[in-house]
Amino acid sequence: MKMRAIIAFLAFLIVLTLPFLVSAGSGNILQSVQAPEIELPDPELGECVEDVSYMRANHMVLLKEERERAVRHGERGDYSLSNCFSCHTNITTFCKRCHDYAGVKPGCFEIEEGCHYAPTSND
Amino acid sequence: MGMDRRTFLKLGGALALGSLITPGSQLLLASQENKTGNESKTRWAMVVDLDKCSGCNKECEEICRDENNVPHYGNERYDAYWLRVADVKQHLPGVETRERHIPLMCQHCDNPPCVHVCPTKASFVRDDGITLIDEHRCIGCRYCVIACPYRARSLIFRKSDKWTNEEVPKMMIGVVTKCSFCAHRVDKGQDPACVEKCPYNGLIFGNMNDPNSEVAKIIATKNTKILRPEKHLGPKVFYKGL
Ligand code: SF4
Ligand code: SF4
Repeated sequence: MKMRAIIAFLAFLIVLTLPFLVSAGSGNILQSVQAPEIELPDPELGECVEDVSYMRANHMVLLKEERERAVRHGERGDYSLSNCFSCHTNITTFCKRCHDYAGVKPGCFEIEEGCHYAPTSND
Repeated sequence: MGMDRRTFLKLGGALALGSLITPGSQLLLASQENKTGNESKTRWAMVVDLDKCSGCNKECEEICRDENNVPHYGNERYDAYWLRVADVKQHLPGVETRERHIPLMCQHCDNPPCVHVCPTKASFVRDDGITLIDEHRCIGCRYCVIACPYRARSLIFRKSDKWTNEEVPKMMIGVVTKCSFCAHRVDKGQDPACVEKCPYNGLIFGNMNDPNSEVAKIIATKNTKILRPEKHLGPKVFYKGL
């Protein structure tokens, strides 16, 4: 009786972890989750407003704060979408590749065909 | 425990009474206190010279729509207006009937009822006196549309594809919009689009707190009138020759 319970439990565990086992068996897991390649702007255009690792993690915070400053106080500074687009001239090869990979829709220009102009590859 | 039952009940009663009175008194206070912009350096204002406005083809309406992506469907029921030119005729016995054309837009009140009623604080007054709507916040409840005595606000009912000026966001369905004094241009040091492009130079824009500015000089002559002065809202659009 006890034996049967243990076997049933082990079988359950195997079923539970099957997806992981299969993907582990099919090669290097890490290779299948490579970060997407994005096209960086011309380095001659100069430095970004903050350094790359900071921007990667916090660009949305900067944009949101800038929005608040611009709308509420009329201070339109460097962290605006239009300033981003002066170097990052194509959202399809820059913003979208990471955003699609992360499953996050940028509300500025994607959700319900957002309100802000964004340059795309069609331009 | 020093408090007896009677004192406790009395205190409770006072507290309940206090909390009943507070919202009303806060409203009163707010209406007194919210005269924003009076003390600050800049206070944007506009003078409309009705003697110069010929009503042309109502070009300023079109200029405004193109500058701010205001949708125009050609249907009175859905059309949004930031600026509209009213045609007014006065019939008086013995006086020649004259048609006047009066451009009407948000009057950027010092004490705006639209801001007081907004439940989300989407409507607000900037430090320089411009009344604006934070369209990311607006829930489209339309309280403000009803509160505004100048009918300056309109809700975007239908999806709009108009995007003539990419610098300004496209209009989103379900939010209320109104004249912004072209805040995006004012922040860059430019005049609003209608002021710059009026073919008869009938509109003048400037800082009314600066005594040397053109608007301040015109207002100082006391030849101007405001619309619906009985409302005591402190509108900042002044009409010359009304
Ligand atoms: S004119 Fe109307 S919309 Fe403009 S500030 Fe006054 S109440 Fe608000
Ligand atoms: S419609 Fe928008 S701006 Fe007007 S009162 Fe409601 S939330 Fe505020």
